[in-house]
Amino acid sequence: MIVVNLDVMLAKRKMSSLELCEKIGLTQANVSILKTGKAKAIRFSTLESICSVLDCQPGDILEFVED
Amino acid sequence: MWNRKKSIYVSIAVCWFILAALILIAILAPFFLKDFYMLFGGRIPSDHLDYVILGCYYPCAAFGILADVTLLKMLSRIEKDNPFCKENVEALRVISVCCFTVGLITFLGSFSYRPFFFVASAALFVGLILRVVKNVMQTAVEMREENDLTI
Repeated sequence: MIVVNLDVMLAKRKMSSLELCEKIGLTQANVSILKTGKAKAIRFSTLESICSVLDCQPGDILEFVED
Repeated sequence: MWNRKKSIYVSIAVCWFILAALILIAILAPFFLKDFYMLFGGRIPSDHLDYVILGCYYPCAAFGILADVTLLKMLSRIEKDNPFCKENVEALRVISVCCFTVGLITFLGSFSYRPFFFVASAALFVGLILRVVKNVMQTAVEMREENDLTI
């Protein structure tokens, strides 16, 4: 399964979810869906915005873990 | 001007009208059965046919009322701008099963009263169409859910 490590990256960058929402133009509800792992897919454009704001690679946010 | 809301209100009104008609006919059917024969058959058949027709009508009316009430609930969800939900898929399934059951009851009744065969054919066909619509709706709900969870 794919695990979203957005919380970890936010903590590393000392950034709040609200700040991320404002910077990438997503709603808090959508960021919450991402953080809780309920998301079924992520758009390249969203991933690009998150990587750009958090100054990281997609692999830092998404991780493959064996079930 | 005609719009989507008005169309829904017309559907709701028709549903209430049909519900009232089903109940009214259920109450009055035993008294007007002879007139019904004269209207469609031109003659009064044996008394045993009374039992066949009423015996078919009452269970069919019960399933008809269930389908009608389910339709009303479905319309109220559509009115609240929530047409593609799991509840509506379930509602279509219930209505489809009601149609199949009515089809089966009238098919059995058609052995004694042949015109029922046409009612059975229509009910089974509508049941089949609704089943296909239910499958389409189910796919739409899954697609919507996936779209909602795509960030």
